[in-house]
Amino acid sequence: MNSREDSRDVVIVLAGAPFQDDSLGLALRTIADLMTRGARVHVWACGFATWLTQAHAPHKKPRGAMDWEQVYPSAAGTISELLTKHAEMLLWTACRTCSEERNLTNRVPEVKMRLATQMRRHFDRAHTVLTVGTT
Amino acid sequence: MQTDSWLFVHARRSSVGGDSLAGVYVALAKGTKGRVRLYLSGAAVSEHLLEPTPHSPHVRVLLDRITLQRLGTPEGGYETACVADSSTIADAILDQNCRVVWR
Repeated sequence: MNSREDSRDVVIVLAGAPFQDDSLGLALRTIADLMTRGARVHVWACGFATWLTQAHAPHKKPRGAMDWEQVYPSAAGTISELLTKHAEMLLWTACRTCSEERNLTNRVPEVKMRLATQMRRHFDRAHTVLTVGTT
Repeated sequence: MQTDSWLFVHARRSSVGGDSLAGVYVALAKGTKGRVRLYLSGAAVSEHLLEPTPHSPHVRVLLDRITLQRLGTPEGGYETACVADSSTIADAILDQNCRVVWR
């Protein structure tokens, strides 16, 4: 991948456990909005956020007793849809260090794994770097 | 880059309320000529509805529309806040004169 392909307008670091609050859902909606506006986005997942793009992660939420027929996409399903729909706009990286530490290396093919030491190179190329969640 | 506005994004309960960081934002807002906005989502919205973040004319509080819909709460009639979408955050991120802080 050359530097032009590798560069992004916005780098978003998804850090920490993704389900501890509403940050993940809001971040995914914001990422979709950014790409709608023509921005190229690079998501760098750290910590347990690397689980989101595991091959075995369910793409649908469990059915709810209140509305058994309604099916909602899971966070992993939403990410998969974004990666498919915006293949040219969205680059998703899982931190190799975090992934291997948690035995979360069975990722979907659209997602790259890179060492944490490479973060700086990608950050330097972006116009904006934003961290979501705490490490 | 000249930062003349700030957007703070919060989705957790502990981010808002009387003893929260909101006081910091108020102080920041008083010290800047730009606008300071506080975007609340998830539990931060329900907490704000129970105990509104200290109101200041210098800080504009934005409540996430999707969260309000999930809560079944009306989208209008708030004295200390207004309703916004995640597109507001996207616009702020792409605005070179705005600093976005997400915690």
